[in-house]
Amino acid sequence: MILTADDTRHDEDHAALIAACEPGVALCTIVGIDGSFSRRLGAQLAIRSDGSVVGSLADGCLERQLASDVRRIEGPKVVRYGAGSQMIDFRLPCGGGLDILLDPAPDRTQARRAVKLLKRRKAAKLALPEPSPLKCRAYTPRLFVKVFGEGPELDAFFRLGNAAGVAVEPFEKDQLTLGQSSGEGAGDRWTAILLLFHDHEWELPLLAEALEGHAFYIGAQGGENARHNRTLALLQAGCDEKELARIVSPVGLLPGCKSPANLALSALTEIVGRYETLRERTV
Amino acid sequence: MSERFDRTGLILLASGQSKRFGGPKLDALLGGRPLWHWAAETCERTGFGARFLVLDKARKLAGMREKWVPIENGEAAEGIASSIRQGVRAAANFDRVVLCLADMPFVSVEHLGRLAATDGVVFSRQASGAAGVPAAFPNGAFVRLLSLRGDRGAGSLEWPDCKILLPASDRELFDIDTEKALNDAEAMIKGG
Repeated sequence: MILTADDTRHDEDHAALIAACEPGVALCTIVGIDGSFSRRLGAQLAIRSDGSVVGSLADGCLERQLASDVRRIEGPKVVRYGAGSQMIDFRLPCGGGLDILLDPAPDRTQARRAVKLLKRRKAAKLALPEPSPLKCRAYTPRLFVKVFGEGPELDAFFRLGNAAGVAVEPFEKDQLTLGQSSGEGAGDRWTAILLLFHDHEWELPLLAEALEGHAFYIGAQGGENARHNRTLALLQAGCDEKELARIVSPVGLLPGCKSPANLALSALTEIVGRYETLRERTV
Repeated sequence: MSERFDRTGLILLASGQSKRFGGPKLDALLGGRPLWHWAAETCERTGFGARFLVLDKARKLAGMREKWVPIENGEAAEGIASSIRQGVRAAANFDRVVLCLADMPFVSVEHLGRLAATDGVVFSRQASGAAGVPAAFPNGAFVRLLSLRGDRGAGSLEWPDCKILLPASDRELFDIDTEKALNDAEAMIKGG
């Protein structure tokens, strides 16, 4: 893998946890949501002693309130914000209510251990202290997309992924040898593998390689004929039918994309969507 | 102030291993200033959308300048390819990048400007006739640059439609790789 382990710092879901490893940093966690809210249960914000914040929970308003509230407490406390709160002068624009765990001194040993695991691309957990109704916050390693292919489709996917803050490692046809696997190893559970070839004869060894690993998404671009031929070739090569079913094709959420930019958007959206589902299921 | 080339990112490679130079080359003084400040100042005057300085993570550089985005390369020992990859990743949201070396003190604002303004892949023509840096690449070439490994620079790849620009003077592409070259550069400054 060419992306370095340090890339874990770019996952915004990990940002507050990483900041909370430092002494003097408080950690706020959404532990209950009443109504709907624009962040998930478990979303976090780290607050440094100078009042600066890492991560985001809503507009700056809630964050300023949290920064001021967390300074006034000694130990962990769950506070209701928005609807149902005792603070009549503070309302959330969405009209809902949030229970937020304010922890002025999170368990830093545990936080550091979690960051280390994430860097090694292992799922991690942080136990939340009493009186939090949510006992544990789970973290998944950063989404990593290996994309093989050629031409404008590969360029467009790399640039879009980069703009979206997704770790994308592109492999151009020139770096590969026809009929051989990439030698880069198969992906882990948090890796998506995408093939964007016009010339489908490059695909077989790459797909076989991908199927040996645990990638949560293996996708290959191609029309109906290409898909049919691919399936037959993989079966002939001895691929298990169950394994074959792991290959997503056609790729993407938009049917029949006719431009590299749209194909990239369509495939990336599908990949991010599936990764988020995976993240939600990780407890 | 709006930058002249605001959709172009400038990547200054300053993570060289100084293997042929006795000591940290880029900090060595030329005309009383750290060597790398010469190229850096020219980049600043050219006016890019952003300037990325690729550094060896294991080594500090003397006299950090303002408005540079430092990119720490933890794999600098691999060779120049790792620094190009890190720089391109950092600048990947730009339409175009210009790649420059921190040990070329005499590159001109005009030459960098022409590299930024010319379409497609553009290299500089060295005295030997070979295509070299500084060079510029459109975003459609970024993935290819990321395929570089080891000591291979951008010129090692095939670029069928690339253009080659001749700098106004040979001196522009003079690079400091030995102490003798540094002394020669010192003499060139004094000689005007």
